[in-house]
Amino acid sequence: MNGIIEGIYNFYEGMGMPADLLPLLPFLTVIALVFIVIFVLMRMLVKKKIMHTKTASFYMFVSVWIIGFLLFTVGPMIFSFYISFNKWEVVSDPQWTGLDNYRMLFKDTLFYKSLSVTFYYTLVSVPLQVILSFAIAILMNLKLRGIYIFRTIYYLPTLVQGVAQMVLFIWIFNPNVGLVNSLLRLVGIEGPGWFSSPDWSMPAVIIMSLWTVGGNMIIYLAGLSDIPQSLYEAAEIDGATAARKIWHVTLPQISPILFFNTVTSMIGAFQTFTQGFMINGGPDNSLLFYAYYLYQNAFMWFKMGYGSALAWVLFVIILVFTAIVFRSSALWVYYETEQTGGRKRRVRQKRA
Amino acid sequence: MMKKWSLIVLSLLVVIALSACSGNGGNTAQSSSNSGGNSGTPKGKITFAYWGAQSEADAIKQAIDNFKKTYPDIQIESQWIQKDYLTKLQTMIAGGTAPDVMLISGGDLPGFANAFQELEVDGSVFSSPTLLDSMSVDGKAYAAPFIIKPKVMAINVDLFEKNDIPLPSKTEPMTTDEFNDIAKKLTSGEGATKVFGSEPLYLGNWIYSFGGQFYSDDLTQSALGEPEAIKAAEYMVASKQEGIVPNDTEKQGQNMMNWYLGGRIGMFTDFGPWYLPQMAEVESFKWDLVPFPGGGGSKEVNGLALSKDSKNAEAAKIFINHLTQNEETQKIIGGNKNAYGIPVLSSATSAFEAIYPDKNLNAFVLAAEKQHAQEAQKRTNEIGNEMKAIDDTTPIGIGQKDVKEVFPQVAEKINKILQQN
Repeated sequence: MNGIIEGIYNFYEGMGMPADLLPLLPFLTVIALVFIVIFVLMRMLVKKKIMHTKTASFYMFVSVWIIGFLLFTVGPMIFSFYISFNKWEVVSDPQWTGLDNYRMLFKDTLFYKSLSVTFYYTLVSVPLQVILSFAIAILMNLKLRGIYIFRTIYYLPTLVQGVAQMVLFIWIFNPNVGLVNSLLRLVGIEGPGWFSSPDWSMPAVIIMSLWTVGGNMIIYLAGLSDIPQSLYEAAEIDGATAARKIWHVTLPQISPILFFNTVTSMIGAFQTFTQGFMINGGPDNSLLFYAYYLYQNAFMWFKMGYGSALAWVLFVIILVFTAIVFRSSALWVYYETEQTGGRKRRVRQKRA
Repeated sequence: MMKKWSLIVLSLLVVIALSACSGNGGNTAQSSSNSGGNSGTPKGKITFAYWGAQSEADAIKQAIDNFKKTYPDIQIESQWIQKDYLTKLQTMIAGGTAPDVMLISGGDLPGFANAFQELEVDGSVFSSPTLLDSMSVDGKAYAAPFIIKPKVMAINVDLFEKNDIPLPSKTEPMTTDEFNDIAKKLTSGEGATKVFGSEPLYLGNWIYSFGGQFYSDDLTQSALGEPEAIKAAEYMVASKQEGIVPNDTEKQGQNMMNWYLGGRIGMFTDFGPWYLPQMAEVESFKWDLVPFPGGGGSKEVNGLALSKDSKNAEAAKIFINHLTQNEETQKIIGGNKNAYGIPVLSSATSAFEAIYPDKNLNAFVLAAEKQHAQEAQKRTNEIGNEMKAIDDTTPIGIGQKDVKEVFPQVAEKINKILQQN
């Protein structure tokens, strides 16, 4: 493959292309060739009446995404799976070592440390995020004058995320001049060292994670406005209090959205990286998030094979937890289209 | 029906045409690289990757220009990588597009040695025979020394005069005891205007002042558990407790160089050549440079390495030799106004000293020869992660545990990493 790419490169170089474009051209050429092949193939199938024009155009349209997905997601995944059975120092050739990388995991104290850090964060921050964003969404759903201004205010912090958020909060949690400790000092409390204390760095990150609940809030808001008013009216006639209405009407109606937010927040929490990366794993490895430990191994310590093995273990962990949440959803998620007697597949009607 | 198809074909063609023909009017000079010239000398194109700030890149460009004058047949394609140099290099090597020549620091060399070619370099031409050692792994040279960045101590002459302290020798390093005495005398005041004897001391420099080092001479064992290393650590803790350097609360979020420039630090010990340009603008106090106390500090040696997969190795070797061993080029790079570093040839160091003739830049030159080189391991980054325990658990950083207890533990963990092949 490298030979082909090089051939194309040299061809363009011979044509006198500008040097800045040269690295890009072989790639574009290959992509263009792939599409020409697909196009010709589809054309043939349509001509021979094996495929309908509409079906062919469907495949043509999705092919853009599918090819990108195969090239840039599935391809690297397969490669990382293969490399996880190798010792690969990146700058030299991979050596097959079988299951060594996976065996090493069990003896690696930092692996356990990073797991416990990640679980601590996930188990505390995800429920907090889900509850807080739901509570704010209920407040923001009140029919008040100027409520749109409040919705905007609560959503705005979501725009400052990732690195920018971390940089901001490193200052907010600065033990001497930071906002948090200055406020605590006003009421006579000497605040902890936050990011420079092994015990307080994780609470700091969890508090920080609540900064971006606005994103989930918007999704809840959309769900809340979908709840039919008639249900509330019926509850009111029955004499339900506000709390009862939330418990018996709002919660069941919004449970699919709760479910969605829980799953996505959980996956996101398992993949937390920036918070660990920005302060190098925190004091005493207290912020050694799994994804950051993986990054350290793969890109800083020249252990690409071990890093890949870590990635696949993370994949399995996320898969298992998502499966658990999905399974449990039968107990607490209510879909309006559901009928008694279990789910039934709707049979697709044949087009006339 | 046909109309739709032809539309799709047309749009595809446009895309291809755009991607293929954009900027067709670009240069055509490159194709001339293989024509003309006699066949004896290497020619063609080589790529050269380096890192650094704008000022450092300028210095390197001057050196490349000088090379081009001598060897017009060899084209140099510069790859100035401003951020994440090592990661980028790794990716390029893994992807089979490694640059022919790469700038590499002695500390990172062992990790990359597998991607480099062994070079035949005569170590005796350089100002110190140890320079080639820091470019070698297991006795094989994988890069040629190019530039040196040693550490010296910058002093605030006004503060010395104010406290009636005689100025230290410009050629002989003061002892650590003398340093301690002077630092105490320089320390005065309280709170936001307190003047400190020095900035917080750095183990990577001070371990050598007390005769210690990070690894055994054969690099197979950590030497952090040795008494010399522990003595250095204990002094660092003592300096904090005595208040002659800022403590953690005082230094949090502060730039120590700014404190020195503002006259709040008497002796700035971790002083590398990159600080010189901003020092040149100082007018509020007199300053000078003296050798690092106790003969400590460590120098960073940067070298030029040749890729294992280079297609034009002969030209690349000429390039490396010219940049590292040609006196004129070394004078250009060493004499750069932004003080890029100290030349590796003794005959070229005068160019560096000439940048600021009225300051004792000779301290840098002496350090470039004598100072301990940065100790390098293949697994430097992984070891660095274990070393974090020093900051996290001892009073050198934010912890409380005794250094006597922690250092041997860290040494043991490092030894485990060193045992991995």
